Amino acid sequence: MAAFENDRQIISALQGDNQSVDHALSWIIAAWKAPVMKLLLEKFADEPAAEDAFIEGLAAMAHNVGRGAFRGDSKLYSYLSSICVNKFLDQLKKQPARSGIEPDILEIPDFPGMNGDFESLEKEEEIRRLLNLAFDRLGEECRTILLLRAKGVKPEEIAGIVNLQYQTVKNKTHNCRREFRELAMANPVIMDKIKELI
Amino acid sequence: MKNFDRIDRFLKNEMSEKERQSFLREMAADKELARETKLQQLEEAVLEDQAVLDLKKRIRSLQENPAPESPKGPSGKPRRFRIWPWLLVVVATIVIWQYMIHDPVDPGNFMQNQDTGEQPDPTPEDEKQEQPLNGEEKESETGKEINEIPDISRGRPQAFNDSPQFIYQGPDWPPKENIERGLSPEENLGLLKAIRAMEADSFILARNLARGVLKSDSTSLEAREVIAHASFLLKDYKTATAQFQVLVDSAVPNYVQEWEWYLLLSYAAQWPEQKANFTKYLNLILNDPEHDYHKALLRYYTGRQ
Repeated sequence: MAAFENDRQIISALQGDNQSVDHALSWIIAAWKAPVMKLLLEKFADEPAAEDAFIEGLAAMAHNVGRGAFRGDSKLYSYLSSICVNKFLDQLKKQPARSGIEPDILEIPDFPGMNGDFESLEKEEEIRRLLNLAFDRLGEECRTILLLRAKGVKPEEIAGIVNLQYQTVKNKTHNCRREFRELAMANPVIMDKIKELI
Repeated sequence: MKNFDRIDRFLKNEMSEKERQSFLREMAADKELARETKLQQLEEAVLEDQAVLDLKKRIRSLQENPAPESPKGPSGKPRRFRIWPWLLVVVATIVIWQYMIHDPVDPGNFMQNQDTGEQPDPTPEDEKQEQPLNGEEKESETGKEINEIPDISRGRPQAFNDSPQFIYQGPDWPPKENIERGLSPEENLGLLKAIRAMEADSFILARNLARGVLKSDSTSLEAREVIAHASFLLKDYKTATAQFQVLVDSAVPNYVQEWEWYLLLSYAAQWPEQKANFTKYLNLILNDPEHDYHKALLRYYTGRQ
């Protein structure tokens, strides 16, 4: 496994094809996991939670970098560690309730009233859960194309990955989104919840 | 799907300001368009979720089958032996050793004999803040007389040295019969949820929920209390201090002494910056044998049981 010399090389690999993404992820795990874990465990002595936070943080970082959302204001390592710390804090918020406490009461997002009331947020969560199920019902090709698009991969690059013509990828992307929408709209619960929201 | 591209541009913030305003007006007048926009926004969120989920699976798989290569430092270069951290350790050890040789008295021992050890001259500010205790004899619960004048000119009491977090024992939640105080149902619910979150040690959540309550009722002492305790436990001592100070200043009978105690702990945690305030509340509690936390403080203070 060749080492990366600087952040730019890692960013470039994370924005590349699956193989280069895996290469970058492997390198990050080998080089940065230990110091990030140490940082997390200094704050909270909970190794499984720190491990989860690292994986979540690395996935979020790779996703953001992959779709060009990382602006390069900080070093990539600092960016990763701050995401991991935030993920760790998120996990603390979602700690299971102790006996006698209803868990639904505890799993409430931050600052009620600032980004919507509790009920609206709960409805949105429910819609997202149902939409995730709808996504799983899509065919494999559709799921691959939509996932690649969500990761910020350009249609011409997707064409190379899935061995299709550029125009075919564009058409298929559109058709897959349509299919996804149809699956969503076929679920009356989703539509009812949307109507309750708006 | 007829509005798909427009909505997509709206969600990706690719519209001009004029176009955006027009779209917002259109949504306000057309509920169907607003619903379609919401649905598309949630679909995008789900696709993002799925992309991250996929990455997580790959990371787990890569962790289970790591590439055979020795890890390297964050810079991408092999880790080198660095001499300066070791040098720092050696210098620090020498400094500490020198200090111990010249000043054998434990600087953190609150009840040190004043005749031993050299003491630096107190600053005028220290003199002003460090109100002496009553010279009168006080009795601990064991009946032993305590007549030493506290000297914290060099350090806070030993008991507070490791971390005031060890001394802290939170109230039983809810700390008082506050829920039926006449709050509106929404505030009641928010507070109840905040207290439940405290009970479950979800301090960040508790603090956020209590902030929500405080936003709708800035006079809610209960919400402040949750924020203060949660902040203390999250080691955000500045916020804890500010909130406990408001609570103490509210001078609510029956609870003010408890808040003074927690305020003392919060100041102790910010030693030495808050030494003056720490001293103020330390003396306040030590000088008041009727204070709810007088005996507890004496216990920490003297180490006597």
